[in-house]
Amino acid sequence: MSNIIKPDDNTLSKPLYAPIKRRSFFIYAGATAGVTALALAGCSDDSDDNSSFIDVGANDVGVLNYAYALEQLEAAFYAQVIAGGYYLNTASAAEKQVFQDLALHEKIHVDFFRQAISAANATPLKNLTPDFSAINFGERTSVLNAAKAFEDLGVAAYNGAGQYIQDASYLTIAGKIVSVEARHAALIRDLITFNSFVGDDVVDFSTTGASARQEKSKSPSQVLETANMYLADGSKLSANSLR
Amino acid sequence: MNLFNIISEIEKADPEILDKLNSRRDVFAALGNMSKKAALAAAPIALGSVFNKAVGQQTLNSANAVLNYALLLEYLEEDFYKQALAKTGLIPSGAATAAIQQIMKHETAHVNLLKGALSSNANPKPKSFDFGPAFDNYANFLAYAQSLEDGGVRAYKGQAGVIKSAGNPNDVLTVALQIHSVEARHAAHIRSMRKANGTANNAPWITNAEANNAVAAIYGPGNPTTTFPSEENFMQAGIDLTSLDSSYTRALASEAFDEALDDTSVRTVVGPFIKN
Repeated sequence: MSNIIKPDDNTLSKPLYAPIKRRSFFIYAGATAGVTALALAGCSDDSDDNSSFIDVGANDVGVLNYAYALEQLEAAFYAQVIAGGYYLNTASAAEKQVFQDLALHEKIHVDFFRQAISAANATPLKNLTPDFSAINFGERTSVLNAAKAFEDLGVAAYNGAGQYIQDASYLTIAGKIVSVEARHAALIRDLITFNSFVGDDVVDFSTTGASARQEKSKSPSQVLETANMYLADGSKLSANSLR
Repeated sequence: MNLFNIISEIEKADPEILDKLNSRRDVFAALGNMSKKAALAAAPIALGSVFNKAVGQQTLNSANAVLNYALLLEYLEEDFYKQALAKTGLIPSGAATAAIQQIMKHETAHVNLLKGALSSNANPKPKSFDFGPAFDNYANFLAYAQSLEDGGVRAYKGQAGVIKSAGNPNDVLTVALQIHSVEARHAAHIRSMRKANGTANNAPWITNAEANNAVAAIYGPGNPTTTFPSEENFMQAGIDLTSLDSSYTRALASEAFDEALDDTSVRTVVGPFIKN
């Protein structure tokens, strides 16, 4: 059970090979249903190559659903963190407070997007089923590295999707959320290694050139390639119109 | 720092400024219940919050205007950290100095890339910056640093829509977003440094409009307040976030979303630091 998640900077960009505990196979039943909705379930090791992708759609509603999906993933992750062994048995009071706050912030984002998409007379994505079997929720390093990866991914995703938003008010909303995600990312990184709030894996560390010391953004297809590793078959996503 | 000079300087720029205030007394009322030293330290801040309500608004309408505004803020931040690092003994050696050096390098790079993007349209760097009592001690330094970083985050956010309306030439929007999130990471870390220093019990994110002895106007409303509410805002896109779940307090809702600020409100706060 060692090396569940590699403590390097590309954790989420690589396939995860680690052996998996049967009792880790939780299916999370919807991001807003809370931790009580966790259900123990069986699991198939075989990935289903025929699984269909859910497309987030086009235009502003597509971007909103894309953001909604990523927020669901983050909220589901933190919901499992605060129901997990590390949080319950080992975490300091200060770290517990951090995880409680992050769990609630992300849950607020989820509920906001579902409401905002409905308010735009569009249909929100279904409640996605995550697959966090590669994360060891009993171990600090695994939890924090996964949190770092999800938060950094969120920032890169919002930064990369801003250009696709047509309505200026939605763009400002995205800006209001992405800076909070960046604050989360900085905190989690500082918990792993103090002063690593802006690592050279998320910022272009050249000092000249057009992207010097800017955060590296990711396109929706790049982001979903990573996110899909943490979504169960039937919940994997595509964003074919956001490019 | 001479309060009357500040007012007279602002009067030169805007002869009607005092008419826009309810009365001169407002200025002094804002300073009234502070100790003399605190009042001096907070003078630009308190003035900012008074003027803010009177004249704050969005004035920029082209991508270049936004980029020059960003350049001014990055010049200011870069110079702030340069002055701080130059003052022996101000910032503890070790992790704190390393963090500030890293942040300053980012600001320098942002200056360079904005200058590059603007090319011949770049405004010149102001002659100098005077941050008043910011470098009197480490606590002051951190409070001002937090104000500039949180303010920078609000300032960039406030211009995203302007860039969009201007047609987003050369995808300047993505550049602005990519700088914006780096500023947010800086802000989070500075806030953690303040907490570690024991001078402010704040989280890396902003709870309500709590300034915790940083510049209050940075967390307050802009103009119009409907577009630029204070950081205590809990209504987003017409949705009352506290209505979505009984566990969502106003404080949590305010933390989950940062707020934007119009350029005039930002300039009102940082203007007194700029010496031309």
